[in-house]
Amino acid sequence: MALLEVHDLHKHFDGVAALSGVSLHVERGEIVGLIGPNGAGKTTLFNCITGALRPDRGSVRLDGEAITGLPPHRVAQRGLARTFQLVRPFAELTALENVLCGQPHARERLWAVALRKTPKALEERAWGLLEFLGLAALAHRPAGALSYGQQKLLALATALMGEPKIVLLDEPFAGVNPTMIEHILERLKALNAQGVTFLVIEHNMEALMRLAQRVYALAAGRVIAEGTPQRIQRTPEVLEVYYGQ
Amino acid sequence: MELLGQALISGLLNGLVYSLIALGLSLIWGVMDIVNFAHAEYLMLAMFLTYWLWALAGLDPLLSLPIVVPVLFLLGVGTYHAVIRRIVEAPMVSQIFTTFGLFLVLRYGAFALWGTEFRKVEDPLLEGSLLLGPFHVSVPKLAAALAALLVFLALHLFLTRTKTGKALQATAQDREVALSLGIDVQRMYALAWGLGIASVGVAGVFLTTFYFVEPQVGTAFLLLAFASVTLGGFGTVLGALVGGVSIGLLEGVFGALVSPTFKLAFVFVVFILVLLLRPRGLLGEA
Repeated sequence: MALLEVHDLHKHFDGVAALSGVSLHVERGEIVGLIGPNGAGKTTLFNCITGALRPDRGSVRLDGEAITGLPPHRVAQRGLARTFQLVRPFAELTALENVLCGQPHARERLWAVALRKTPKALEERAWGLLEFLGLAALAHRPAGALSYGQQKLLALATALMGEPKIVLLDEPFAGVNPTMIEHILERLKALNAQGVTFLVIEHNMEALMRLAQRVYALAAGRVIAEGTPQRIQRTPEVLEVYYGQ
Repeated sequence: MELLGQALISGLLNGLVYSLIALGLSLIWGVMDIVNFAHAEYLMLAMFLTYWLWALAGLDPLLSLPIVVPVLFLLGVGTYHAVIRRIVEAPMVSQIFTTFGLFLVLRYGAFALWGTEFRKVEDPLLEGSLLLGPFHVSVPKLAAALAALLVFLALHLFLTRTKTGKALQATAQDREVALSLGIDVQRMYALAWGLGIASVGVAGVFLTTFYFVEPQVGTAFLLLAFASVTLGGFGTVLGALVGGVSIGLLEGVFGALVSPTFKLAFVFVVFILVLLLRPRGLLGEA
């Protein structure tokens, strides 16, 4: 059974079809890439999976359970984390506080936690993530003062804080300098080796080819190809969409 | 010199009370970008509740605190669920009309229930004044000011030290990202209303010990609370404190040294000047 299973997803905006029957699956422990030209429906697909948008038709299953149409916070509580295309840290909170915001918000009684201080174990876990991503020295800086690349890493740390089953990354390498790309790439691989599953939207083909084990190509709201990174780059449909050949 | 000192002391004490009223306004705006025009009507309700607990059950205002504050908290949460929840994503004009409508309903509801009479609690536990060197310090105002400081401290610790407080800050800064992390944003909004209205409830209890209770009591305070929040910087908790104290001090000094009749005119002249120079308020971010 696939960890994430998207079946025949449809989404229309005022008559324009953003998704017309997208199906894909991500196995436990995989890194799956998602490519496609602008307007292909990649971010709409992410939004339909995470509950930010309600699909018109189709289903999303996470770990065997249907999550279609659940509100985003419920989807997150079931173990699906995401990062956004343009990073959006809580700019006025420190890096450490940002990561702590990612701790599991299960359906607990508000009163039970309202007055409790952050448990030591959670704080240690947050520190561990910051260290792992090379941000420990910046832990007490406001997130707004971090560089763009550092904010991307911070978003990743925050997403990982809830120990998600799968993380959806929306363009993790966009707008980041080459050294930082290497760093993020290497850390994502290390996380994957520890068992974290990823579904990644990315335009940087070269980086994605080194990261993903399998890639889906999306165009005009449909999956037009699927396969290993090497194979997908030679698929005629993909070449045509990208280069008009 | 003595006059100025006295003016500064009473200005500071009044200012802290204004801050406490402004706090809830600022908190609700900060978390969900909604301006609550009915805010001071909850102050009025808290004062009536305090008054009736004294008049009917003989409970001193100070002792009614553990009843009035939780009731106001629930009233805030209830208002959110009954009314505000429906307009969170509505255009700003609809939000303004909704909370303004709430203001009318509460105020004229109070007129209908309790009439236009001015009521007052007699012989409260907090009464009289202390002599601090050459200065007179009103005991009930001192108590109200200390209570305001305690509420600010408690809220600060809650926001920065607890998980729920962080979730509330996260919601205020980016609702969509907060949702993606599993934070129940609806619940955080309800909590902001509960806390915002409960804090104005604390102010209501203490005001009842030195102020008349009547349906229109909110008017003057609403204006001052708005001025405090805007002066300090909309949406910041510390801004409400700084704004409220500034307004109180200005009011005290102008009232004592220039003219008590026109003190508010001077306050608002300074207010307008500050905003001309710094439109985002003293502590507000660009």
